[in-house]
Amino acid sequence: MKIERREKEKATILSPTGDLVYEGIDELENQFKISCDNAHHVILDFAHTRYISAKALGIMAFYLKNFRDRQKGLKLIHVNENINKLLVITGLLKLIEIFETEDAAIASLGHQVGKLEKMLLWSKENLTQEYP
Amino acid sequence: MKKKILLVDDEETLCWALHEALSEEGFDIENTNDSVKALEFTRKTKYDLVISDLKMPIMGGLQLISEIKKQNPDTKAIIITAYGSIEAVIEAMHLGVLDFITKPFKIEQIKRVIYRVLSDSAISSLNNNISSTKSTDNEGLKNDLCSQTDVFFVAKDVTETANNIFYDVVEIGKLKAFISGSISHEMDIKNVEVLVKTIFRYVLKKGNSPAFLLKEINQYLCKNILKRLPVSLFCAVLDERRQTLCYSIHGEELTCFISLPDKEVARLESSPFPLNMFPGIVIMERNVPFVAGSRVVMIRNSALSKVLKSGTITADRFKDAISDGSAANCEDMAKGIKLQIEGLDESIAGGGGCAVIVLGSGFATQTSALCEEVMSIPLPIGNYGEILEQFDRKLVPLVADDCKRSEVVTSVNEAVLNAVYFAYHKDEKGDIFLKFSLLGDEVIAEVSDHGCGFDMQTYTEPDITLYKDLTKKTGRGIFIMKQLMDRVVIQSSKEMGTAVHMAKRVSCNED
Repeated sequence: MKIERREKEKATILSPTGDLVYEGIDELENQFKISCDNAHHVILDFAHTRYISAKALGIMAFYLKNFRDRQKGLKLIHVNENINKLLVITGLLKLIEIFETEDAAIASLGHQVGKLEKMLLWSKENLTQEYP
Repeated sequence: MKKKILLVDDEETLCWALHEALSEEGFDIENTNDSVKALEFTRKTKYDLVISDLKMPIMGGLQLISEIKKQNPDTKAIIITAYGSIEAVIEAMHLGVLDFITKPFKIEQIKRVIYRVLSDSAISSLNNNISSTKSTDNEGLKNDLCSQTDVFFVAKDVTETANNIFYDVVEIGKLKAFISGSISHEMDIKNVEVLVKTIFRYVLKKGNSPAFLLKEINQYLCKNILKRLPVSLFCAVLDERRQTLCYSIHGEELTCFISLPDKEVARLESSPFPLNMFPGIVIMERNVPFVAGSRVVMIRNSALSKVLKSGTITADRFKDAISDGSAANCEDMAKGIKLQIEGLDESIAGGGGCAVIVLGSGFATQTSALCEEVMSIPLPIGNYGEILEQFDRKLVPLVADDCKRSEVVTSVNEAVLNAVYFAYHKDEKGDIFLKFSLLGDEVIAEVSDHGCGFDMQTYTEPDITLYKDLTKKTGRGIFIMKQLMDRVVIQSSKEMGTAVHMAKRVSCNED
C-alpha cells in the first residue's frame, strides 16, 4: 500500500493505492503530519481505495480538526458507496466535504470556512433576513 | 371447479375493483352493493365465501353474515371495514367470521387472506378439530388429533379440566405465530377462547412480538372478563428465515421444554404470573434458536407444575421422552410424553387432567445453511490487502449485493484488526479464524482467536460520540460493526480467547 503525494495549486493531493485498513494507516498518518507544516489544503483521493478502517476514520477526524485550527481544509474525492456510508454513520460527513472531481475540490478551497461553519453562517443570514 | 365468492359493499368503486382483481385470479365473483339483495343471492346460490363490508345501510355486515350462516353454516366469511374496533372483531369472530380486512388495504393483501381462508390450512383444520372433538366427545381417554402431525400435535384427555385448553396458529409469510393457553374450569371456556384467539389474530396485524401480543390480550381480558381467574398463555413466533423462536409464557400450570437437534433438552423460562389478573403486568419475551428438527413441548398440568417447582420430581424425568429419537413426528412425541406423565404416581400429577402440545419447525433443513467458507490468517500478517480481497472472494458466492458485501467485509475487517492488535499482544504469533456461512437469508460471519481475551466486565457499549470526542480511541471498530451488521455478539474469556459473531440479512446469490 502506497500513498502518492503531489501538489496542485494550493492543495496537496494524497492518493492511496489500496485499502486504508492495516498497513496503510501509519503511512496516512505520516502524510497528514507532513501536511500540517505547510500551508496547503489537503485532498484525499479515494479512487483506488475500496475499504477504510475505523482507525483510519479516527485519524481523519483528528487531522480534520487539526487542519481547521490551522485554517486549512481536508476534502475527499472519488468516495465509493461503502466509504460514504462509514462517513454517514460516524457523523464525519457533517464535518467533511466530498467532491466528485479533483478540480471541484480545488475550486472549493477559496473558502476559508468549513462545511459546518458555512451552515451556521447560512442559517444566521437567513435569520437576519427573516427578522431584520 | 371455480370457487364462488359473493362481494357485498355499498362502496361501488371498491366492489368493482375487487371484482376485476379476483376474476383475474380465476374466482367466480358476484357482487352487490345491497346487503338485502346479497341475502337473496345466498338463498339461490351456495357461495364458498362471502366478503362483506361491516357498515352498510338497512342491514349491516354482521347481521348479514349471521343470516347467511343460518342458511348455510359452511359458507366462509370475511369482513371488510374501516372501523376495525376490537369489539366488532370479537362479535364477528363469535359469528364465525374467519378474518378481518381493515380499509384501506392492498389487493394483494385481500388475495392472500382469501387463499388462506379457502385453503384447508392447518388453522381451519385446527379449529374444526376443536369443535368436532367437543361435539363428539365420549367417556374415557381419547387423543385429539390435529392435521400436519409433523408440525403440530395436541394430545389431551377428554376430562373437563383438560378440555380447557385452546390453541391457534397463524402463518404470515415466513413467520408462524402460535398461541396456546388454558383457563380455570370455572370459567366459560368458549368465551375466553374466542376472545383470546380474536385478539391474537387482530393484534397480529399490528405487530408480531409475543410480549406485545400477550400484553394486548391481557389488557382486553382484564377489561372484558369480570372474574379475575387465572389464564395461562404461551405465545410464540417462529421465524423461518432467522430460524429463531421468540416466546413468552405466563402462568404456573404450563411447563415448556425445547428440544434442538444434537442438544440437551432445556426448559423454557416462564413467568409464574398468570394473565387476566392485572392489566399492567410486565410481559417479557425471549429468543431461542429453532432450526429444522427442533420441537417445543408444552405440558398443561397444574399438579405437575407444582411438583416440578417443589423439586419432588425433576424435569430430567421427561427429557428422555422429549429427546426420544424414535418419535418421528410431533404426534408420536406428544403421545409419548403424555403416556409418561400418566405413568407418574396419581398423587404427583394424575389429578389435574393433562394436555401435551408439541410444536415443530415445519421446515426442512436449509441446504444453504451448509454453505460455509472457512479460512485462517496466521500472524504476523503479511499482505493484508490480499487477505481483504480473499474475504470478498469468499463472500461472492453467498452475497449478491455488492454494497452489502462491502459492509460485511468492512465489519469482518474490524473484528480481524481487533484480534491482530489485542488478542496476541500485537506482533506475536497466532492465528485468527474466520467462518462465513449462510443461514436462511442471513450471512453469518464469525471471527475468533485463541488469544488472551479481554475482560467483558469492563466492556462498555460504544456510542456515537466516538468520532466527536477525539480522546476516545477504543470501541470504534465495535461501533462500526454494530452499525453495519444487523446483530453482533462478542464473547471473550482468558481460556477461549475472543469470538465475534455477526449476522446481516442479505439477498443471497442464486448462483
